[in-house]
Amino acid sequence: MSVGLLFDSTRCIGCGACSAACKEANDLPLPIEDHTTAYTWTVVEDVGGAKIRRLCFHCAEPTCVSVCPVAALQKTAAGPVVYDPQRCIGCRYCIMACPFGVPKYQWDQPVPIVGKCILCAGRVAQGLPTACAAVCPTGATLFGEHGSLLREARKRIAATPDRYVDHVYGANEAGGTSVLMLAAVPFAELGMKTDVPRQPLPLLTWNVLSKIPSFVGVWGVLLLGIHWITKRREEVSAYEAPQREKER
Amino acid sequence: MRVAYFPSRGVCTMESRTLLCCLLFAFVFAATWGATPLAAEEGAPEVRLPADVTYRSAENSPGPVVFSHTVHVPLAGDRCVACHPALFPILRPTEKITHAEMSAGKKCGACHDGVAASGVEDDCAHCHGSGEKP
Repeated sequence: MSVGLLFDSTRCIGCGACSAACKEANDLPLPIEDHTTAYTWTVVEDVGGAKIRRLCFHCAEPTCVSVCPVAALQKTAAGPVVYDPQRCIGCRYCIMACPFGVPKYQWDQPVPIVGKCILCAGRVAQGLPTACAAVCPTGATLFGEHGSLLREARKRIAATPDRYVDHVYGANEAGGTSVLMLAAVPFAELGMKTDVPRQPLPLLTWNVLSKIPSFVGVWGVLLLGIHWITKRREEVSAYEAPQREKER
Repeated sequence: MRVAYFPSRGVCTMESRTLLCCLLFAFVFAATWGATPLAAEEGAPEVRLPADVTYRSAENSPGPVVFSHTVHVPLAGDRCVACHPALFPILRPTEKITHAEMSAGKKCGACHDGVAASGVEDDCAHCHGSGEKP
């Protein structure tokens, strides 16, 4: 079973309780900035009266995990894409790779690393909801099993189609994400990326990388074999040269 | 003046017509109002604030303090971040608040400084056992 969040923009009042709880649960330094940073993992933005949360989407097949050269980022079976600051070397490859622009860099540090929402992996492992969902006073952020959240999102659109745009953001984006969103206005107007590919991005490189071991193996054996045969023929020919001279 | 509403029958007078209209209006109004409660706020999210917090009294306290989110949240412009988590943790309850730290501008004292809101040394009964809650 994997968990996730459902954020319903139409129920959000922008009180900021999610940001406050996130800071507290993850021991992040204050203040709460007006955009996500390496120290502020979630914020609520007001876009023309509509409220939209910024946080990691926790892709089913995360590009950040795929590109991280030291495996500092990992997708857990429970759903969260977790992050090990001890392993991070600060290369920023994940920042380049993320289709949603989520990971942020500690630009103020002499030896910076990356920071992003980890879906309260510690709390989730204890059976608790994420901090943001636990404190939300309107139920705009719901925590639950991913499948049931997706059904709930589709049910809400079907029940009140005039209240929502017919789009569950995160259902298909980048191959599906653990965080789902509903809104009354098109997501592009809320500053969300709508050109995200529908298939998992790690597939792009996996299609090539997965063939490399067999490629190296087959060509390695083949070329070594040709080299051995050629070399052997030269040695034999050199060895037999005096005999051929004698016979002449 | 008596005017027949249905002249052929001659049973409806002005008074009965007025009464009929009033009843009809009342019925339609009640039906509409009852069918769509909070029609004016349709679509507005329901906000469930935490229950009132009663703080344990210290010795020599004039009375227990009851904190109400319902009173304070609108005053903070519906911004939870006005107090959380800088002044009070949001996930854990605040166990202890002392007058010393409030006077130093922490906890309640951040707003209750005698300028933005009543000062914490001004009126004991304002917070302590004000009678709103036991």
